[in-house]
Amino acid sequence: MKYFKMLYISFLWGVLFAVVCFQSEWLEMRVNIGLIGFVMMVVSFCTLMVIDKKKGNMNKLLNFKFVLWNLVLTIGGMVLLLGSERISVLPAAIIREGLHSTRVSFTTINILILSFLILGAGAIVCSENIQKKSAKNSRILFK
Amino acid sequence: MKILRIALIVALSLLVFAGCTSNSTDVVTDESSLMTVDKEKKEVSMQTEVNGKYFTEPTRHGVVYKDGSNGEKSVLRGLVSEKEFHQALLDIGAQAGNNVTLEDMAKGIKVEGDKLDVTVTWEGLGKEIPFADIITSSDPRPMDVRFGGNLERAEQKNTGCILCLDSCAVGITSNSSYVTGESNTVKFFGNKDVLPEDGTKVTVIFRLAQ
Repeated sequence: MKYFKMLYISFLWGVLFAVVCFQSEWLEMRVNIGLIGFVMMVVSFCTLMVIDKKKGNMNKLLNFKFVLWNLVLTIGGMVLLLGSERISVLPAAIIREGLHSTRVSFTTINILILSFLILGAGAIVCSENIQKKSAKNSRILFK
Repeated sequence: MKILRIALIVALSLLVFAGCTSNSTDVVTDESSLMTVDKEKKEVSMQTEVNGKYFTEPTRHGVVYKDGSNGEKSVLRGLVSEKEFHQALLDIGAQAGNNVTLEDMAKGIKVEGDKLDVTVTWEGLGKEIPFADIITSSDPRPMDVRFGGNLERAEQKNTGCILCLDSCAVGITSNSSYVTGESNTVKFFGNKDVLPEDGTKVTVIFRLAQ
């Protein structure tokens, strides 16, 4: 599950970074901002992997509280930057450009993003509950 | 349980990357059917698609060929190459201005060349409306589209630019109402109150003005 958590967090950081880059019109007119987002996502994922390899406590560090705060702060940051109208178009447009999938509608991409964020958060909660239960059971067994 | 967890991760990852592949319904279309040239009426019509991103974001690109480096940076995504479009304008007898160079892009120069009346239409609209109606600007002015030419630079840069909203050294046609570099201060958007929704096919008609 720790790799999924890393993917979940890296995805949010990638999208936020791309949205920040998009605010520069000069950059937006010259570069595929979607690709910048994907590069940021990969860099974030690799960085988290390296930290995990060195410290080995990533699963503990990336607990549900961290994931939830990360979700709230990145989405909050995007809402502050873009406002309510642009947020329903821009992240989807950036992802669409990065994927070169111009025929996929913004609605479809938004549904995919929301599904990933909601189901992903649900999966992280379930996984933590299962881990807590199994830890509790093993404590009872060893008593 | 471990297998279940792995399956869940794979399923969620697939959900996210479901859009990564190009759409399987994409059809390879013959470019000749996407552009018509009427030498008698002195008009060129081309197929484009609405890019809904520019309903809320500013751009200086009106129409850009989808495979150009600026293909996703315009209000309308052109389905015909800018080089073929340049030839089509020559075929209807339009004279290119070729008066703007890349060095002029910061000098405030107006693009020259034959004047073109540009209109748009789409299925269900039932009429042609001026191209100017589908663009909003922070400094509105009547649109004056000129055949700038610029084929050499279009081939060098491969940006795909077909219609720029201010005077340009690369676009095949540009709006001479705004001098070069003016888009740094003036903001252009697609008019969401007039244009159909993102992805809708729109026909753009360029007529040589009398």
